[in-house]
Amino acid sequence: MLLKLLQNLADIRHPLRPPGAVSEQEFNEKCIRCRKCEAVCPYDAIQMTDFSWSSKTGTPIITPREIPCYLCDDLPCIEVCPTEALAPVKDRAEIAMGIARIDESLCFAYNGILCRACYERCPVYGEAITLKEELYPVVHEDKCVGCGICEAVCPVTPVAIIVESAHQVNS
Amino acid sequence: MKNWFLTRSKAFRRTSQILSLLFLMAMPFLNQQGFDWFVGTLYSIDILGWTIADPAMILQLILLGQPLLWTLVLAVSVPIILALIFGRMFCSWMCPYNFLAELLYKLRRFVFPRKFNRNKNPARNPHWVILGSIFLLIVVTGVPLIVFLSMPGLMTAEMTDLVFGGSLGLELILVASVLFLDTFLYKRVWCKYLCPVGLTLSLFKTPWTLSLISQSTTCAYCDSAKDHTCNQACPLDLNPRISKNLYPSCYNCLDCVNSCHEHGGALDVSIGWPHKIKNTNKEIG
Repeated sequence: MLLKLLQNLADIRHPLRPPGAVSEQEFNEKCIRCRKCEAVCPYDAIQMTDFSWSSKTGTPIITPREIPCYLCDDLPCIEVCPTEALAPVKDRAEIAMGIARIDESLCFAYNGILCRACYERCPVYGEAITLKEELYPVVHEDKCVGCGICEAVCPVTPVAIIVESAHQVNS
Repeated sequence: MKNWFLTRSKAFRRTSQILSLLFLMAMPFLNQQGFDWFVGTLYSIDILGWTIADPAMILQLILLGQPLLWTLVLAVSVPIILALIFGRMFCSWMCPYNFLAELLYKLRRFVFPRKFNRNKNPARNPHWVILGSIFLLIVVTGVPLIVFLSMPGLMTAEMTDLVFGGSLGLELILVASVLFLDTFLYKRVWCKYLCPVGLTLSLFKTPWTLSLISQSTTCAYCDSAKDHTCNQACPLDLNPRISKNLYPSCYNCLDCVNSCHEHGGALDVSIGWPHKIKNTNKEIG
């Protein structure tokens, strides 16, 4: 009981996982820290969590502001995963790594400066992010795959659009 | 053929250890250049498209309540078959941690020469209690402990992280402290008693698995004023002439057999049908 509580406290943070990742607790049990996803990622988007993540140390994490996931056609990270911690997906639209959230107080578009960076670069073009009144970007959670390209291209500092793990949003 | 191999086994073993270490260190750099025939770490590695996984990691995965996929059965089949035939030869012939620990221990012996006639097999074998406790702790806490207890896994993983992430993790402190423990505090305690990776491989030892045998009748008791050559050769300070409690501490490096060949050849290996009659050396030596 106490152990479970401690464990939940330790695992409360949800890193943004690569495409196909199963739910967070299952992921931590299935991932055998083999680093193959890190080694095959052609963009070096997949990095490993450091020791500050306690029992999640050495599991894959994507930091979109540095390098987002570019959603490769063949998804080598999923292919190379030996334990299906990254489970196969049928096509790119099925990926649900995370969900982007816009902070309207920071976003240029909502503050009178013309900016369409996230809208223009979204790989699920015209579906995951649309423009309200042709000016204001709006995220559609059912279409957003969570790749983080919007977060990478956002010109505002601190960033006005942030991708959170889909499993964090759902839990 | 057997003798041809055994008289050269030490040179083969060192070559194997060095090649294994160089291979594991070069692999992430090659991966970075787009060469992907070999990908992974010693937790799990892909060799020419065939996935191999550490049986201890997969056992942990099952104990944490995850289903055993048939791909994982295939992945552990190679190490398990090798362990069934050769015992823990992975540890002595390939494991980069053991290589490092062996070298450091040699250095220690150089600085502080050891006392002779001190090699002893353990009085009793605590191995299964230790392995059982580790796995029990994993089940109770739900923390995948083998990740942090697999020294070869940590070392190769940090190598990969260094190449792809540009930084080393604090996990290396774990490796360094175990290395310190192994070299200075309790001589080779990690490889002999504690390493869950090696202990899991020991689970697959059968009477047909490669093992040492000794014949008291032909033992030349070489140089016994100082020490037996086999004892001097043993990197784990075991006494290979005594079969009692030699396993599962012994990891079949075969250095003792190699050294014995110049002194009468009382030590030999048994593989296949067990040599029950020959293995008679039980007296204290």
